[in-house]
Amino acid sequence: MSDSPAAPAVTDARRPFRSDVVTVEPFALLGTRCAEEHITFPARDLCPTCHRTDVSTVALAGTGTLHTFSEVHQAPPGVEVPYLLGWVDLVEGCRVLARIAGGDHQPRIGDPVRCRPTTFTAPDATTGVGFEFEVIRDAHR
Amino acid sequence: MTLPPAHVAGAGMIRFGKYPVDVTLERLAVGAARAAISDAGAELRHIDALYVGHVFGGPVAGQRIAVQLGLDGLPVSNHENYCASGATAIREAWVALAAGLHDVVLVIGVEKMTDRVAGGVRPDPSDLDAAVGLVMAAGHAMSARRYMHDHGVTREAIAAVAVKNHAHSVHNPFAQYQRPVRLEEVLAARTIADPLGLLDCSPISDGAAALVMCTPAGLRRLGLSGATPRILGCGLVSGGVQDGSRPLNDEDVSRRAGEAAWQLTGIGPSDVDIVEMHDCFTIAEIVRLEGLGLVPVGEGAHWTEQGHTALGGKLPVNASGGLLSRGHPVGATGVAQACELTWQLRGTAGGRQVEGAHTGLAYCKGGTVSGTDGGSVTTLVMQS
Ligand SMILES: [Zn+2]
Repeated sequence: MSDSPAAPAVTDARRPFRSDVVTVEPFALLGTRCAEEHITFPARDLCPTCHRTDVSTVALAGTGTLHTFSEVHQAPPGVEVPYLLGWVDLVEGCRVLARIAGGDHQPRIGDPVRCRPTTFTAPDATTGVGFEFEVIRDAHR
Repeated sequence: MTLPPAHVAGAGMIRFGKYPVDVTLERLAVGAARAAISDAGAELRHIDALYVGHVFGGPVAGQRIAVQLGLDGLPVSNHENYCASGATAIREAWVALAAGLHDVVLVIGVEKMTDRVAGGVRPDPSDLDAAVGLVMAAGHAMSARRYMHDHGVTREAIAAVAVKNHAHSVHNPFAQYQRPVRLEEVLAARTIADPLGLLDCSPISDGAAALVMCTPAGLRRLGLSGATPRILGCGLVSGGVQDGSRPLNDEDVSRRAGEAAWQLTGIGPSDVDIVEMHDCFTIAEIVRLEGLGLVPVGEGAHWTEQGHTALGGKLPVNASGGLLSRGHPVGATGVAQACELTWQLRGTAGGRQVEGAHTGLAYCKGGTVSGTDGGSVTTLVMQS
């Protein structure tokens, strides 16, 4: 790995895309919990709900339900389409924007989903571990 | 708190559209500025300062424009609030006039997008939402799907916004399109982010719009007497962090922007008789009208289908054709909305004139920030 600012960090499959978003081993979405028990995504140094600074970083369960979604067919150059994007309501009560892993059939609002790792690309074209959600198919049979 | 209003002495635009590479940002801006200065009967020597709203114009675009106009040497400031940039420039000009700093100022909103933006606008690359793959169309498509789910609204009712606004633009010589579209065309258009198709989305456009704004002393400097439309004030709020407890289409940011406008101007929602709404996407017009309290929550799509927001309806929205049909050169849009309100309040809007228009509201929303309900929202209130 180079120290030069002109040559940023090389791709590392075990490195989190951003340290405030996920941990890698074990994989988890990160959140902020304050003394008032407000839980938000991602990790911050203050609670965005009550602005307390006595907060801790917590691993979120990574499960929830699909609040809404869209299949995106047009994106800027270099982004492969189509892909599914959705808002997920986590069991902790916060809402996260994420890609929804493709399946054979279109999801429905209210579908149960679970978080899993994927690869994110940074503006400098380096990659790291990010997150997406997959629909838990068995649950709504 | 209310501040003194600003008088709009002149308004000018160039037609929005797709211009070739040699029609530069500066040329677009100069065309609109000269139209506004001429409309005011003003000369360059009358102008005290220049306020320029743009997003993609690059460093000191306003000063580059000033040189082309012959306004070099004046105080020039550049204002970036994404799609609310032009409206933010108007707000700052209004504050400066109210403070007594200047008496006659020129405000320009301008954007050259066709050679700088491809595939749609998106968040800043450093924002988490960019890494996830958010494009603006996708955000509004998710809003539309949830709105249809929550309120039992059809896809057709949302598409009706595009039909209405394109029908209005037939009467607007500055609009990019100026042609009606049928509901079937909106529904059959290529999918951009489902359920929204191409005709649910405002286009990528080039364009510029300008205003000459004055204090009463400025009006005397220009030799103007008689009534001119006035800017009573302009609210500005930014998006708040969302904890997930509110519905996706709660539009708290629009509610707060409305409150800011009512507090600054003493005008209330029931006083508004014409709206220029930031319909960057069909669904956005619906949920923003509801967020402002101008239309009951869950009824915006029905209002559109029933013609209440069309010319001749009880609350005409986007008589100009809106962003969907006038076009959306992002930094120019807020100033173009103010030009439209100026012409409507003068009673000179021709085939798209709203009879008896007395109080107008123009709403802009610009940008997204991960975890919040928006970037910036402006609410401009004008009166004849
Ligand atoms: Zn808290």
